[in-house]
Amino acid sequence: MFFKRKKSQENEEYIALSEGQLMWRQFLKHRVAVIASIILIFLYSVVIFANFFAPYGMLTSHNFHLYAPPQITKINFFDKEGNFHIRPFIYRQVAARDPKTLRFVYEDDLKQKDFIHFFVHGEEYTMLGFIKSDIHLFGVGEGKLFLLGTDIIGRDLLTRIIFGGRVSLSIGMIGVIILVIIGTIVGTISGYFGGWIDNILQRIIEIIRIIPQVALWMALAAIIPKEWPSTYVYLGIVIIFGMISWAGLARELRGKVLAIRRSDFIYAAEITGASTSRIIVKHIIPNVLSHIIVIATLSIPIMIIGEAALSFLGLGIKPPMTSWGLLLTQLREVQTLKHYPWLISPAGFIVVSVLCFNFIGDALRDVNDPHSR
Amino acid sequence: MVVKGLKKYFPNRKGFFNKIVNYNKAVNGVDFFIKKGESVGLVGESGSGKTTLGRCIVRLYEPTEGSIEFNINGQMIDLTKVSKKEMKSIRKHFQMLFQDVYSSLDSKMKVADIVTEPMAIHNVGSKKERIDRAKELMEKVGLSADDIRKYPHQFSGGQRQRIGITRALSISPDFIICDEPVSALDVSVQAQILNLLLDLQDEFQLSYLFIAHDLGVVKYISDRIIVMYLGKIVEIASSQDIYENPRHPYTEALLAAISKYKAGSSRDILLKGNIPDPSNPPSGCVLQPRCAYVKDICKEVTPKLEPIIEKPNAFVACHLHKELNLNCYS
Amino acid sequence: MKENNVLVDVRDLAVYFHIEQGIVKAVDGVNFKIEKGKSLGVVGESGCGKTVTALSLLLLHPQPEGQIEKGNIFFYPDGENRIDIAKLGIHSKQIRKRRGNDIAMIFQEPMMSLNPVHSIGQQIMESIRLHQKVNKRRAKEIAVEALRRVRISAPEQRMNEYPFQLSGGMRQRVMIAIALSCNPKLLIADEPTTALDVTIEAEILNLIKDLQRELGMALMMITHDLGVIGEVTDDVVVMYVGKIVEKASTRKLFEEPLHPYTKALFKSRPEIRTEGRLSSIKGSVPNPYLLPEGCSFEPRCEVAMDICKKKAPELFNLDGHYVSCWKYNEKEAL
Repeated sequence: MFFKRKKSQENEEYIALSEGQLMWRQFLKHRVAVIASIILIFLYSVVIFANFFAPYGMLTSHNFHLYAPPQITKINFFDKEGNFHIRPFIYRQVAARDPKTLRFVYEDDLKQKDFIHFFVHGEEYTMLGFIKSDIHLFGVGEGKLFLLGTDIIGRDLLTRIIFGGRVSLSIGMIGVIILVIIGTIVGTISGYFGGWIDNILQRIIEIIRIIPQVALWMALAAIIPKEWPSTYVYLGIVIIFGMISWAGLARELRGKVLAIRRSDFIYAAEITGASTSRIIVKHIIPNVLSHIIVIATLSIPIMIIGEAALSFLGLGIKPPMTSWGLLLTQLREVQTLKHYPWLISPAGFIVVSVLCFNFIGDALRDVNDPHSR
Repeated sequence: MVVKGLKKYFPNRKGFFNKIVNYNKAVNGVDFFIKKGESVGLVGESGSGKTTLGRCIVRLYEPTEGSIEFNINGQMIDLTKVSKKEMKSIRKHFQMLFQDVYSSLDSKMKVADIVTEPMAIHNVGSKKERIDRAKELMEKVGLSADDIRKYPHQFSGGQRQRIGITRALSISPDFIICDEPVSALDVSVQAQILNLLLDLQDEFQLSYLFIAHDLGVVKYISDRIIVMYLGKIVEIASSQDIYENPRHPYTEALLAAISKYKAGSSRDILLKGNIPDPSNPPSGCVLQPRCAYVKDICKEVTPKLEPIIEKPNAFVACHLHKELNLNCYS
Repeated sequence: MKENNVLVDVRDLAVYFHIEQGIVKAVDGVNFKIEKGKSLGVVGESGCGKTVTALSLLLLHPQPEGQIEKGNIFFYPDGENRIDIAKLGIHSKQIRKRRGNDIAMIFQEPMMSLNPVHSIGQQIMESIRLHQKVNKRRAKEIAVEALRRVRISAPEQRMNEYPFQLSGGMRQRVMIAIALSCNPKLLIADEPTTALDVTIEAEILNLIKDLQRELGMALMMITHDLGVIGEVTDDVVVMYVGKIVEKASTRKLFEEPLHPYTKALFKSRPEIRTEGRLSSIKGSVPNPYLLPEGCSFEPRCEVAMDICKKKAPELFNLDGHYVSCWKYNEKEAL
């Protein structure tokens, strides 16, 4: 029903809710989606303020800690003698070379405790172009804290993941904007006008959709000139994604627009003399907005994975920018994974963010479906 | 308004190249007029073309043939010859009410926006003036001015139709086409809405074309009634005459099919068979395959809609109307 | 157990819907009997609970929101044994044995009730083979016979047609054919002609009446149209907001409706002979969450008395004509 009960002092009143508010409450009932939303909000906050959350700079390499293992499991509150410390700490890792394999091995120096402090001073940075600071969320002063280990040239993986997240998580967002704009325009025009316009547009959409999306992305990405700086490459990737994926949205929207095109309220507006643009903007779009949101939300994970795939294959983001996919290129040889398994952590982030978007998108779709009311 | 020779054919397409196979002759040559202030009922069953006719008159569908002359400020203007641009200002003069109260209001819009939209489209008044007028009209149709802040789904069927009526009245039209506005409502609510429509007609000097499939409802609200079957008009007469003295066999059949509202009664079925496919109408008179009085001439020659001599403004399309003595089934 | 004529005996049936905003008492204590071979009409406007009542006879009411809170639905399949449908499990074998077999149902929108991707023949045969142990060929014969019985021309050809190829009236006939394919003892018809043209309605009602006579079947006709009630039913109950407000033989109800709501229903129907303004019932159906104390019709009643606000009237028996109104029980009212 469309009323919400509000208990006042004497009697219960009923306040009417708009459809938007109704849908919001329905959404909140999907606990998984709500948790997913919280996780995503957290992830996005962290990567936006990357300089603050990351303990080190993106390019900082620590020459004596190459391929250091992750220390996240080594955070202690109790020391070896059994004393409790409120402040968590780790034992300092010391590098040595294994005489037989010549690989680095790391041991904990039990005599040295590095306490983890919060809001510490660390490397200087200029965040988001204008915030100059040197405060980091956490750090260990003189020691080194590599929560997720380091890579071949000693760069903290967690830091790289946080900065890489900027690219991985934003490509989806920006790409989706392009997708939504083109897809909505094409889908609405196709569905509203019908006839030969619809025919032509649908054939174009079909041609685009015949080609496998990822393969098409790869082909177009390969066209990007190698000389371009990494920001241009980033923009190029974003545009490529948007320019191809709109076809799915356009197709679905066309169906929805066709369905409402012959509704009485549209006829009422036409009979009164409303212009086509008025009908489309004020009547059709608001009624398909929820579908657009659902499809957009479900397109983001596809782009995240797409970017990861392209970058992994070397066709995507170029250094010095980094992304989760690019971080995974270190694992091109299975040996690396075998010896330094923590290097696969970026994949975990990809999985989590993709799953979260999918859960949210599914919940939005449920909420949108009239049969679930 | 005067309608002459109106036809609306919908192409049926088949095959890979969407070739036109034949035409659904929804409206197949229709002539009638409506006088200012008059309320004309349009009755027909499914397949009669009455809804299509209603939509052609407001140029929601483009007529295939024929003319629709409308009296705008004293001048008779043929809507079929007007450009789309000129049409917009003409559209101030008529409005439509719809059968489906759920799909006739945009569920994403507030009532305030729904009922002021016609005024917004025609740039009538300032925003505040529109809201004031809307509130005034809402009170008149039996809603409360506070309802203007709400959404359509918060209202019952009858109330939604009242919102639709408010929307229609907002630009002070001369003519309202009521496309089965009460068919989907409960009987007690139907009565309320019909009474309201009559009151509004008196107050605002409106003309109505009231489309319905139910002869009972139409009688209450109409001065004259047009009966349609398979795209053609078969009879036009005053309300009283249609019910007391029908001249066309189809009208007689409709009257026979109405319930007597008596315990143990039953209805007579005068038509045999089923309504034919409008893409393939019968030769001669449209009713001849099902008519109990059919003669040879009915199968060969299509009867024209002719005036009935003793009755002004009454017409019938039947070769045998002078000889037949039809039952009014009262 | 004495031999009786009763087929279905509904006693104090209540079906409540448990939803987030509260409890909706869709059906709140109704009592009626359906006798073998006779027809009962249930008339009321939208929201009165008539459809939920009908659905609950077959345990098809919307679940899990809808629950039978109390009451019995006694069914006498062969005059002696008694089954309480209300106590059967909603997915149980026993209720499935009854559905389509002993008790069949047809609905308002035949297009929604027929499966668009199966042919007519397949759908009728499905029902037949569910309840009778016959092979495919025999089932086909029965199906063709069923189509013929509902007066569909050229039934053998129709068997292979699909619902979209048929008109509304034809589809309703197919629905009836499916419903009657297993010779049910009771046919529940939920507004079967509301969506049809009036000439087709006349044909379908005649068909239902004739078939009822031929098969000795009981009929429960649910409608908002008093005209249909008059033609088809022997007895009638009038429902308003989940309760029965009047119960009588159809003849008595038409001769002299007692309850103010029934009277108002008769008056608000625009008949051919109406002069002057139509009378309508003031106000509207109450919010199901905010039902008034006392008589639920009181806010809209022209002749309401003081007691009507305070206490809900019981169903008073006036020589076989039951009415739930204090006006007819002045003694107790005072």
